[in-house]
Amino acid sequence: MSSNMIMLKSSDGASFEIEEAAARKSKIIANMIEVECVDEDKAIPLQNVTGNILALVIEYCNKHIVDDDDDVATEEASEEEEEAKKKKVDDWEAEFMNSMSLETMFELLLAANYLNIKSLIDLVCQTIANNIKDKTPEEVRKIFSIENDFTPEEEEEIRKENAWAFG
Amino acid sequence: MRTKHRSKRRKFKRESEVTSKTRRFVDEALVPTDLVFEILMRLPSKSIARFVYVSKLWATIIRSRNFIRTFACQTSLRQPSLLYALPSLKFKNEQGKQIWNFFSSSSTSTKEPSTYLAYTKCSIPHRARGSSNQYVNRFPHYVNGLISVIGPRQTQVICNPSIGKSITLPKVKSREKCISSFFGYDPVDDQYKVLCMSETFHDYKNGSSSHEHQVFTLGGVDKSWRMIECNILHRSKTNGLCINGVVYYGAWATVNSWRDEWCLARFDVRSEKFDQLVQFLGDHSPPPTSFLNPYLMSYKGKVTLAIEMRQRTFELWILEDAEKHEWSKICFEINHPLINSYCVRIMDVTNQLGEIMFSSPGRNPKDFYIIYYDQQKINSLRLEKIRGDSYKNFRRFHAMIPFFNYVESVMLL
Repeated sequence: MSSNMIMLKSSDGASFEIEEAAARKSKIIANMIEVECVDEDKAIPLQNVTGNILALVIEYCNKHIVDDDDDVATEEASEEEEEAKKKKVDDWEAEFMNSMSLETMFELLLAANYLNIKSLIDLVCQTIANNIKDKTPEEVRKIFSIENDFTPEEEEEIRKENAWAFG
Repeated sequence: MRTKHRSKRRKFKRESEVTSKTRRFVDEALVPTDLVFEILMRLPSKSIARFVYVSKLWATIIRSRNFIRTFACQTSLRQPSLLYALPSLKFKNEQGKQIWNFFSSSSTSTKEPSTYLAYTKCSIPHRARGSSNQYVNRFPHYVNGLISVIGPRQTQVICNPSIGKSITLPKVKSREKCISSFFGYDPVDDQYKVLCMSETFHDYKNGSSSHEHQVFTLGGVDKSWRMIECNILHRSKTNGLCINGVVYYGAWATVNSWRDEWCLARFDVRSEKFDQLVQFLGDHSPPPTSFLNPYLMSYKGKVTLAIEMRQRTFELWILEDAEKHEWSKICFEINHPLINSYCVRIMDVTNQLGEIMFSSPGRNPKDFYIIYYDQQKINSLRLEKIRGDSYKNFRRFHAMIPFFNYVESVMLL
């Protein structure tokens, strides 16, 4: 089985070769392919994604395209096999996310959003959520670089209202 | 000017070691609001409640109707939860309060013992002595993520167990001391309302009907009780049940001048009007008596009256068509040592498997059981044991109240 290869070019000039089927995970790229604005000899420039992040996106897409193929081929797989396969994907995703810092996660999230890869957005959002769920509001502000825009009076009011949530 | 200020600020940040690319992304608001929404959506409700405090934007997202709805929708798609409420009393400097402890677990796990996903508590203050109403129906009512509770000294409170927050409702103004209260949710306008009616004390059957019908809208502009009209002479006799924006409860109604009849009252939460009573006519409707401890619950999404005909023998009367007064009936008998009429309550029915659930205290005072019965299969009983000793201070709890098919809500109240 031979499949078309597509070239992607990151904002910092790095080029990546990727199977068309994997690239189609991105709705944006899939659309480009549909309307045939992809020139086989030319790389698709991705202005908003740096090379190191694009490498992660491609790793994710490659992994998931293989799984999708399997789904089609073994439609009648037994329940246990399905479960085992799902667990394998879950384990891979857990390890994939585990290997990166919170900052990389944010960059990956923005890239997934720009390229419109729904399942990757879901995965990264869930991982970020798991990371911040036990944090205090102050810690969350730091992580997201959000400035506290409440006046001291407003802050006091909310603290009083929400004393139960801080216990 | 503005640019200058910004660049200065950024310089300052750089100096204070906030230099990474991500930080700059976020600083320049490149994490779009819809991604913040997506992240928040995946948090446990207790974290969400805490993050209101992060910034004004976050508070606006979390308090938005869209967020509350999407969150509820998403949690209901996950496995439905069983919620256990364990009320206990606490006194400190003569200032008593009641603490409601809530635990939740998945109600579909048959193999594994209960795992507790969340633990929250709501503190219910006592109202000052001598100024209270007497509530005649003290059942906690669960509707769409929130629970209405009558606390000690007749304080009426709405709790959100997912985030452990509660609000105390203002006192009902009434000539009578005796109040019965129901809790409803209108899915169209997304509003929770409490219905209260006054009754004359010590007037069991042939007495006067309820009067002074009042409604309180949760989160409404007007934070007080409003009088509404009721042209149907009746007084409530069971717990309430809210399905699709209508509150149902069993009642004695004055159908004609010399006779009261046992029937089903309906209150439309949105229009705040009482619908025509559903009467119990003939052999194909529930027996006309309130002596059999009738309990209203939802069975496969339909209003159902559960009664215990005699020990361990139950009848479920399912309302098929309210306008035509049509009911269907299921009878069953359960033989299990844990089921006897002194300790069993049919609390609510049916998870998605169509099972009927009972709660019962165990022989060990620290344990409780949930008994699942499938009336379509013979001898189909399964037990779930809730081990009290997994909780600190469990001995102080004196009751366990289960809520089945519980859906989390992030409504902050």
